[in-house]
Amino acid sequence: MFVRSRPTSSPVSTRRRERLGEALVARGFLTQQDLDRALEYQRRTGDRIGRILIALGLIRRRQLYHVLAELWGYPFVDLLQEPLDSRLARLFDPAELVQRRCFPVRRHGSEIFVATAEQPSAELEEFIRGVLGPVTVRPLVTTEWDIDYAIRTVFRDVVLDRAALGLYFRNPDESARQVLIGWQKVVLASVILGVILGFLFAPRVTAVALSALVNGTLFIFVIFHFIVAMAGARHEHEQAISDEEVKALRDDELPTYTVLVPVYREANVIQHLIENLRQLDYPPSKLEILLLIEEDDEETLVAAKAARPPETVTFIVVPNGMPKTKPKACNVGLLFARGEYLTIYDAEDRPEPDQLKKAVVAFRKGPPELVCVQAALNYYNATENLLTRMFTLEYSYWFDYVLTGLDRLGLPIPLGGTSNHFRVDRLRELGGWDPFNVTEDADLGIRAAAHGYRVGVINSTTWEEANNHVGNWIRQRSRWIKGYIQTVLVHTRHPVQLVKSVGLKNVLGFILLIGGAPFAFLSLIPLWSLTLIWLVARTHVFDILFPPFVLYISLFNLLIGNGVMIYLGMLAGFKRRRYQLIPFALFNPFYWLLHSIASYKAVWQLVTKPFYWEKTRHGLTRYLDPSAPTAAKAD
Amino acid sequence: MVSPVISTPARRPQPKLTEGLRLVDLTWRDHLVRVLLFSLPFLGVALLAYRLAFLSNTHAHIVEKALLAADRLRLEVIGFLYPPLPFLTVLVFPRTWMPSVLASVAAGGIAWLLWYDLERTELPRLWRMLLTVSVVATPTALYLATQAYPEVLALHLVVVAWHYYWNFVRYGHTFSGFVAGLVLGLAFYANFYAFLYAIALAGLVPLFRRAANRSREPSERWATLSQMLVTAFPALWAATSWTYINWVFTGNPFTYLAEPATAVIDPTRWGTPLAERVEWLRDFASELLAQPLLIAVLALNAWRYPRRVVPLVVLASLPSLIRLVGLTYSLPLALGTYTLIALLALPERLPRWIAPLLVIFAILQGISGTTLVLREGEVSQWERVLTTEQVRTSDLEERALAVALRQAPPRSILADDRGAYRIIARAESARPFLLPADEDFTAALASPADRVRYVLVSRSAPESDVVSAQFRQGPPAGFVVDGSRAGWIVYRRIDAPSLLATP
Repeated sequence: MFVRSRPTSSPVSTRRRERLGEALVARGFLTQQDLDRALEYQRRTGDRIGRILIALGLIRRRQLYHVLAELWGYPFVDLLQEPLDSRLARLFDPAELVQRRCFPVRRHGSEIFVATAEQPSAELEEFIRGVLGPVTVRPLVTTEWDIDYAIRTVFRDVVLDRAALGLYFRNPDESARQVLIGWQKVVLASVILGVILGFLFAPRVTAVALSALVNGTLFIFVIFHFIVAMAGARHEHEQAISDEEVKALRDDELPTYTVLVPVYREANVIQHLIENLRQLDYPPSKLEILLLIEEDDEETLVAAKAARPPETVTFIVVPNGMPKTKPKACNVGLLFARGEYLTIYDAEDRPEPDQLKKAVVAFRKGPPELVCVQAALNYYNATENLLTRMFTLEYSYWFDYVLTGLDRLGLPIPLGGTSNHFRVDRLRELGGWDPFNVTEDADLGIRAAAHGYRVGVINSTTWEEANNHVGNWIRQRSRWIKGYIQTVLVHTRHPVQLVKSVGLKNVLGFILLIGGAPFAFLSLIPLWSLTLIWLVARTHVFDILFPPFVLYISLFNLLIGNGVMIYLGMLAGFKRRRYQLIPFALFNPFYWLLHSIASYKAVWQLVTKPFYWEKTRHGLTRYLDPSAPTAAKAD
Repeated sequence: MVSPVISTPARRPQPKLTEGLRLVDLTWRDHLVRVLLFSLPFLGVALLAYRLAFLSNTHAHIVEKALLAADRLRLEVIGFLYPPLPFLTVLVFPRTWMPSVLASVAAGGIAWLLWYDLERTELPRLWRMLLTVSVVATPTALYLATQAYPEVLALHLVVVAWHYYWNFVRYGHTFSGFVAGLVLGLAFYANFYAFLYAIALAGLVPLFRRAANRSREPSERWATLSQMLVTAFPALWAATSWTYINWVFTGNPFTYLAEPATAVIDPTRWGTPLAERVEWLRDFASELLAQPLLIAVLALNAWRYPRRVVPLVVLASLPSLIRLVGLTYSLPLALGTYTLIALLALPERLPRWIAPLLVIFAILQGISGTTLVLREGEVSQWERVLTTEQVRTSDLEERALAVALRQAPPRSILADDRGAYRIIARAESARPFLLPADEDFTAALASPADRVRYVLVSRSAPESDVVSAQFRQGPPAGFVVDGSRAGWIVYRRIDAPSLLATP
């Protein structure tokens, strides 16, 4: 039981209120020097001394809360040991318990013993009575880790349910749990049937119509990409957030920031991850890092503990259940997040140290409807081999030019896999991530736009590991393409409503960007095959597919379109002055072939296993060690 | 729509690097208004020439092809005409005045850009105005501006590209680099020499780039190589694509180089032995030395920016080198190129006393150029028509013939547009004519009486005009001579009504 030094019915009210720092020094948990250091830090950040001491690693959490319990005059309780009354606890909403940092432990008649990591107050009593009616509240003191542990244990099924099905139950039409809804299935079946019947009864007309549709769409896709990329290039030199604006931030005005790091089978990169996160330039006491580890991933959990992370890192064990995806893990993390802002990093990420501060500035500068800002992603092993070079060019083009161009043109921005910074309250309003969508990031960006929110970009980079292995690359890319198709299918379920809410321009932009990519890649192999067969055999069998107007457009696509896309690929190296990569843009047609292969795999998986998350292996690069000269620095 | 975050963007430090950027500070609307204003004088000259029934061969060729494509509704009928861009723009409304109007607008654009560019010299406005007028109000410039649409269009695009190219190589302005490359790529579709200028500009990047302190560093070399690639790629890709299209549709990838009316290859020069070509160098040198403004500007650069002299000399030598190889580069175009290079190469911030000298050199260059071009056939004819305001008899007769032929039923006149393009252009319709692009042309040529009612031939048409070649000695069986105008003979089938009989 939790009975400790003094009776619970007599909280300290008459003795002199000893200050926490003094108490810790008096009890030998802290030296005066350490306290002075912490106080100096407190003057800068305005944060609580207890939180500061933990963040700076000057004291263990349990030690602190034992002393706090003494000072507050309540017993300390170890929730890892204490038997918990699940039935009592489940009368409460776990999200509220997380935010209030409390947990009802047990009932004794009309007395309710409530563990809390905050100083007990009338508000706590009011909260408990609001659910249970007129009861006597008996506070107990514990750490917030204990509280989170208790919540995860008692509410395991609720946590899993909310993480996996929360969005679906909130609004099924926003979830990819159903790949197609009613009318979509009807349309798809009709189209397939129509094409079959067309080939049976009017093969020429059907073939020409398909040819015209494919070529016409590709034509528009190329033009769209050109406009967006050039808009991005035009504003290449504009910086969303200046260094001066970052320097002007005072630590005391910074809010708590939550960093979610979902990991799965990443034992080999955990040490590097911890090291990379240490580099973040943000007051440690205001940083909450939640390492999301799958319940069945014992290896990563062991490695994480062995890495001896700082006290700002909390392990959140994600209950095992389907779908086993990164967005589901992030939803679990979102439940336990206490920050005003939140971001996600992958295990191998190396964010620029001032990224969080830039995000804070961006939110402060931006309009109220700004819900997320996206940092650029790029690769630190760019020059490892040909594949990493192509991948880096692609990413640079996407983040440095396309997203910037979309931002300037006011079009919806699909988020990247990591380094999206959110306002937590708005993120919860949006329902978090869709665990059934394998590109949950792109989906969330579009969902935000559909709800009238804006996504912006910030001039900060997170360095990641580029896939250096073709097989691994195809696995990853097929997941992305599958996710893009899922995203299009989800967000076009109510097209009229979508147009009314975000406007036709944004809807078209979204379809061209997210839907255009899979379409283009799926078309690539058939069209190039036709060209190749014609070049070799000089047959006229395919002439019927290309009446004059279709012929002109397809020639434009083949010659001008491909040329333009190769040329735009050259843009990629300029902003970051990675000039050695630019000539490799000439290899883009081969790179696109890989995309095309991945796209067919994506479609196959969409039909056979739509929610399957193709796990990308990380830690394959020889530039993994941050202390070694990286390809990025060597550029 | 403004970005939610970068609505109040912070500029990068180093503002000095972007101070010299050209054109990026103007919106396209600003450009368009000024281009149209500067086009007005050229439009006046163009319309005067039109009123006097003057039509250059180049314009006739373009209009005829556009009429053919508009009537047959297939682009392949024109045999993938090169350069396609002038043709495509005229296709919007194919009339004989259309190329002149478009050429005037292109020339207006050049004049406006020259005027815009002269601001950086900081010379007094009056002298800048005199300098601009001195170079555009010459017979050479006016002829190019109103009667040589493909050439002036290409010049315009190259001048536009030059500005962005300058931003790119001097200031590292990426957007400008890509615009320059794309414009140069587009310019290939206006004239072949633009492709050569794109390659030349790409090759000259190392010489035009700012002399960086770390010029030997690998990153600088890669930066240079990247800029060269960005400058050259679109033009190379455009040329390769066009070559591919020619191969696909005509069987010969280089058909476009020998297109009769706008040939890239000069048949006379191309066949000349190399040893004899050395003699041309003397002529080219004389031609260059007869450009006092260009020489003065090179001297100015030698004084202020010596590093720029070599690349500028290379650019100025291109017209000569192109002709030395055996490609076409008309004299008006060469003179126009020298003048443009001279003005665009003027250094920044010149002392005031230089202004009158520049104007004098410009006038001298204009006089020298006029003397040279007025030896040329078509230019001197154009000049005579404009200065005397007398319509040429041949133009009147051509017009009359065309009006008469226009009345004929569709596909009833057998003709070959390789010779008859002027008549077809003046007719402002390809409908009455049965031409080589049509499927039954060959059958009609073998047996005209079965397919057509009229045959159009000329005794002086080139050999490539197969109809004239076959029937210039006499009418085919079943036909009689209906009449002749402007050197053309019209045969009519015995049972067909006369087109040329005076009522």
